[in-house]
Amino acid sequence: MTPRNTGRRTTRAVDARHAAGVIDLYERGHIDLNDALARISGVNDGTSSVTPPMDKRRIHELLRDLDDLVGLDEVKRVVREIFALVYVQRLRQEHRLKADPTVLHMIFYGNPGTGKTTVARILARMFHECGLLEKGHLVEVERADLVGEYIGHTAQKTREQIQKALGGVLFIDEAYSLARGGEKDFGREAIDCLVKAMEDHKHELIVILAGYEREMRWFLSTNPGLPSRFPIQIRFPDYGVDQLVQIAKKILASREYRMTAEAEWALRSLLQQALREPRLDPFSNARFVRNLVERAIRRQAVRLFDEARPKRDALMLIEARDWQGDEAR
Amino acid sequence: MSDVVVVGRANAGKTSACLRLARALGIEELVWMVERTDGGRERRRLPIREAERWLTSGDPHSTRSLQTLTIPVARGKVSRAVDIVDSAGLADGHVRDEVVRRAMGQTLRALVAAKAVLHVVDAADIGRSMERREAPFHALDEQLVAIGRTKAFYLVLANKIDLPFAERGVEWLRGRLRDARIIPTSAKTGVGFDEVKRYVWKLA
Repeated sequence: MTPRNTGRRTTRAVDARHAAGVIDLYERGHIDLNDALARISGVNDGTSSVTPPMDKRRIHELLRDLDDLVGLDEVKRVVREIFALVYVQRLRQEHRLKADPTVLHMIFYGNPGTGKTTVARILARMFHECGLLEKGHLVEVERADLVGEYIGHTAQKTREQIQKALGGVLFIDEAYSLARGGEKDFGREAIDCLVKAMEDHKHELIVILAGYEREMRWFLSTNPGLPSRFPIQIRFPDYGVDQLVQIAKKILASREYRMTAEAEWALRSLLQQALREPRLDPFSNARFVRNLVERAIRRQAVRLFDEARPKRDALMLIEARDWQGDEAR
Repeated sequence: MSDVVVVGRANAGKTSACLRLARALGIEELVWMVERTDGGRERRRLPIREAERWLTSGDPHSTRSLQTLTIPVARGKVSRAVDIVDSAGLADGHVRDEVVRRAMGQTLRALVAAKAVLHVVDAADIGRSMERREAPFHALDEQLVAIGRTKAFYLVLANKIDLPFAERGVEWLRGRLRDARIIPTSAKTGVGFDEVKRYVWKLA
């Protein structure tokens, strides 16, 4: 067959390999047909949407990840609320109803080890599944990553971090330290740069500020413009002894270990003692437990090292003496 | 690679146009190959009257696989065959039915691979949209035009010319797509298919 040109000028040919990739995306439901055709033809009609459809099954899986976290009932409730809102707004958009853009910048109050970063990571993935964030990754930064040492250095450093976080969540741990240095501190510059980026990249970035409650309240009071930009505020309470034991059991189970009843009792009294004793720094909650577990696992290894051929059961078992003398923080 | 792919939005009348073209080419018995979305292939043979009854429907998304009609075309002393691919109709928005989505993906693949494109447009629908002062041309059609133009052979069938407001739709199409060849057709009455036939002959 010889195709004849009907006298009409042909335009740039379609790139078959690029088209195959686009069609694949379409078939998997990541883009809609308008978008697929626009990408193949290279014509953007301006109405094509780039937001992928929501996969409710994935969202449920992520909610299950959230439910798996020990305690945090209030946090779980707020997160579900946010997601119901985001989900319904997306459905409204699909039905061409008014859907006000939701401001999703947040503040997490809580002591170390209360699950702030873990929840932030789950949130980032969930926003990605809802089509709000293109990548859904989490960039975790602190003062040193944002604040520079000379004039102009701070803006550059902050912008770099923001660029890295575009399409995901920028998680600023101990955010109050940005305002700590007083009027002439470069931390202020980082805050201004951040606020500007939140405006410029409204649809590409979600910022989460995290820190101890008292310090964060002070931080917000130093900059009156800040609280209104972070409408979602979530409080992460300290864990009780029961919850900490549960966390220890989970960590052990995930690494294929378990503890004897005596070991559990020993751990419980160790935790009670740790919670009672006066300290300068706040109690590090789940992180404290994680360190305890790490140490217990090392002690168990040392204990078994001297045995000729330890049984499978012995290899899994953490005994009371493995916790003993532990001073992990 | 297929010779001609017939594309258009869902319910534009692509399958009817294919069958009408086969009829215009004097074919009584249709031989067509069905490529299902699961990769399976079937060869079917049916008298054209039966085919009309079985293959066409008033509901969108009735074609859910690629149907390749092999049409023998007499050219001088030798007879050659042209493969005409009838594709699944395209509909925008989020298609939740995975089978329909795969069928549309198959259409896109055939569209990218084909040398020639017959783009079936519902002219009556365009006319009606103009009556209602709505946007006459759909974004999907706009993009099909852009892809069609990259091909060596591109023909627009302004279909359903037998329906009210269709004339107005054809006028509008002619103004809008100045450098494309537009043939007003009616797959129902057969109007315009002699001209389409002449173009398909050129491909043989």
